[in-house]
Amino acid sequence: MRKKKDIFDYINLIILSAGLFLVIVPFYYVIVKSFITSQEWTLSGGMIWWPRKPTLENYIGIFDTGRMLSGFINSLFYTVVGVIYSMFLTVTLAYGLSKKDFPGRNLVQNVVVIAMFFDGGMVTFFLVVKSLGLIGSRWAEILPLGLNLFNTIIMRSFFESIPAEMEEAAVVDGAGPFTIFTRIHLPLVKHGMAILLLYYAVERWNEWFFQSLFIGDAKKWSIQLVLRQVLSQTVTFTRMITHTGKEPFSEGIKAAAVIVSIVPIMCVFPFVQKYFAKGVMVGAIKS
Amino acid sequence: MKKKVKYYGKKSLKQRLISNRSVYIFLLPGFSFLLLFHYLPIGGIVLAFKEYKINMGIFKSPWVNPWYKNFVALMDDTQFVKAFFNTFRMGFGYILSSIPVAIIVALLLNELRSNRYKKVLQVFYTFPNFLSWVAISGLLVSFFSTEGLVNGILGQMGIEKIGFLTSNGLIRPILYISNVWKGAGWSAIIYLAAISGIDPALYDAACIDGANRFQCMRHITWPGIKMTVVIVIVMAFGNITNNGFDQILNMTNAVVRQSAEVLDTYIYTKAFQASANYGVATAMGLTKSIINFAFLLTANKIAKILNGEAIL
Repeated sequence: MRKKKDIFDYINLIILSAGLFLVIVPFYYVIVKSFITSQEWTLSGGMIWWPRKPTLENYIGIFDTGRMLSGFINSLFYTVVGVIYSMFLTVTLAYGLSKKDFPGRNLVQNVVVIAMFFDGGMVTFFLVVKSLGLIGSRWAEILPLGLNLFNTIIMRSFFESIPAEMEEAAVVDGAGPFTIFTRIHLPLVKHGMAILLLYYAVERWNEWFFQSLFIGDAKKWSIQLVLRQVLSQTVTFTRMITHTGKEPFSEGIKAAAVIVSIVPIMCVFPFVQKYFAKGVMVGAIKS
Repeated sequence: MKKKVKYYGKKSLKQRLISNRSVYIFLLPGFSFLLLFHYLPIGGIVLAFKEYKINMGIFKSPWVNPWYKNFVALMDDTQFVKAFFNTFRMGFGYILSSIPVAIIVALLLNELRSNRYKKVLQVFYTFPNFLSWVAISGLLVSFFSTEGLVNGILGQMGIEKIGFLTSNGLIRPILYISNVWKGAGWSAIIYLAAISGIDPALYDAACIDGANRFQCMRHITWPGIKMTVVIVIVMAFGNITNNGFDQILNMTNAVVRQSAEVLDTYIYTKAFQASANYGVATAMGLTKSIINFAFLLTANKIAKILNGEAIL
């Protein structure tokens, strides 16, 4: 229906491309920085667009300490185990909530809704985790976190959209409640589950705050906490780099650490972006 | 159907409990989680009226006298009062900067002719939202620092270096800009979803009537997303006390922290970095939770009236 391109189209194209440039530049800048030496950096005065003599020194430096690698492995552990735990809690709770008539439904419903609006704050949360003896353990990063109630509500509406006849038919065929759940309901909500899984995976991969409260031992830190140390206590970190005799280039070390922490998301994101976006649409419609 | 309902009604409570026993098994894990990690900390709020003794735990620690002593302490704490007002000031800043940009991005993306370029742009625009503030701070601090690219460009133009991250006057705008950089593309998705719900026949009809692009945008697209915009704004105000915590912890240094101190960051500092006064910090947390509760509830009520049904 639309006519041929007019001036507005070109202006729009320019504005949006400028936006793309603004998004990319900080990434590009840090990538370049991660491949240069301190000499080149000193000469450039902040204006650097291309590494003249690309070097892997900074990357070798961050992996030399062993922290980056252990952080990477810990992050994988926290993400995989954490996502399984979160999905289990979310899906079972959402399924229970989707049931219409059982004694105590209002109570359960209210417990969930109140928890969405009110919390005890981080201090008492920390003290509860501490009194459970979880402080210092890897499980402190898994067990107390994990149930996102907004995700639960979205999941519940997925279950609610399944017609009741399907369950009734299965009951007639003699299926028990758990068979009905695993064989009939779960396959029907697998799209919803895929979306939740992605959200939880990102949440877990990026979590650093509670971990910084709960886990003091640097060997158990995720990549986010390691990165935080690289960025805020650069000197402490660079002192651990021993492989070369010369002074490590701290700006390059920081840049390389940022890139290493981003790369996993960068590799996966283009393929799953549309599912994230779908999640917003579903969330908007369901709520 | 009617008969069936009656039949259920005749069942005793015990029978109904038994016939629904599987439901309780499904609810058990999530429910236990909430009790342990959500309601136990809520019960721990009694600490706001106590003096925490490390060897006694929350529940055995002695009550303060008078009971409101911790609250007097927080009222007397000028930094807390400052953080309280700054939370709202910065909350407005975050809302006013992020929502308009997201709407503009959505409107422009919608007007783009090439669907392929649109998809590419969406991937890039939404990407920063999925990175942690730790990583983003690494990216943007090196961008804005005195040795960074922005100052490098300014230097080439003969302008003196600007300490974006060390200036108390500039840190808040820098935080808003960084927040927009991270989240605007992602926030635009909800408006794009709303736009995709508009009947295309409206555009075709307008086109036949000779309406131009701007008229279509103003009279079709905008009314089509207006409700979404209003709801987003209302919910943003409901969450006004929760802005920036993660970002501020990662992007501010000691020099400018005072200008960007919000309730969450102040409570965090008070509880975990300073002299660890858990009693007073819990009192502050309770104050914040109550305010947050009131805002969320009001926002939800307003959204409910606007939308005809509850958000939850």
